[in-house]
Amino acid sequence: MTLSELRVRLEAGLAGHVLSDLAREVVTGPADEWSVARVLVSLIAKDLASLWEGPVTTTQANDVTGRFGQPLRDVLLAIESGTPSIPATDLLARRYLAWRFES
Amino acid sequence: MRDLDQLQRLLQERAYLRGQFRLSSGRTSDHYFDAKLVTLDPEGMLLIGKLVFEMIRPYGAQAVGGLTIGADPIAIAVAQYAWSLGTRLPAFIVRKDPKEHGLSKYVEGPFPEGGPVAVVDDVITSGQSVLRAVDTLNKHHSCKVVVVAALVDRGEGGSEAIRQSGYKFNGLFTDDDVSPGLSTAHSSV
Repeated sequence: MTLSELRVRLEAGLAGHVLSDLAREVVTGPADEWSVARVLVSLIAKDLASLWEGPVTTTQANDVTGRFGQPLRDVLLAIESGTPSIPATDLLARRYLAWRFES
Repeated sequence: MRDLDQLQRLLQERAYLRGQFRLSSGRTSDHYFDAKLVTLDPEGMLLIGKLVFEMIRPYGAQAVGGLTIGADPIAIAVAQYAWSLGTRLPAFIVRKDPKEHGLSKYVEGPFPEGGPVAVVDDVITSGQSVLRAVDTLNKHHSCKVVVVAALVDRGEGGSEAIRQSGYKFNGLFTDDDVSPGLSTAHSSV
């Protein structure tokens, strides 16, 4: 499964299976200048996927999609295109930290 | 009350939640089936152990397990019930990711490498979770999955996906069976 395919699946909203697939697939690439971004996406996706080990209301799902959907897609696009995007990675990290401190 | 009726009542009363949910598959649903409220209940465990064991018994599996965590209490209940009848049918746990340190194992338990196994799960929706466990067992342990069994088949294409992948599937209940106030008929038992 390519990062591009995962980006398309993420557009439909976050859910357990796509997040688990993302967590696994994004770290299959080489150790390169994108390693930090790959690891960050993988850890966040794995943590978000664990929400679906129990009931997730559409309100909760929409909330995490609203927070993380676009930043995850932006970082994936940056990794795919090889275009450095520290702001995208930084935004994802900030959103995650804010969410962790709330929840 | 028959065991099957007793388990159905438990599932209806304790596990069926109404509301708007997004399932792991990404689909939305007006209800959620929180099976762990029954699979981890002692009365539920006893019934599940007996009923699922009877369902998989004809297939000759040498171990029973599935993808953590939904399958874990079911596999353990089945293994314990089998032992109470004098049959050693070990339980195993399939990790979602390999253990990152040590032996990097995907499967935990006294597992018959390459042997016939039964894969269980609590609820089948798209079938992706079960097929992931099956894939792991095939790829990493050369197992022959002789049957896939579940408590509830939500009727959303999962059982068909499992059968189309070449595996036998048995479910104790359909979605309607465990929906309070709907049908009391059982699916494939």
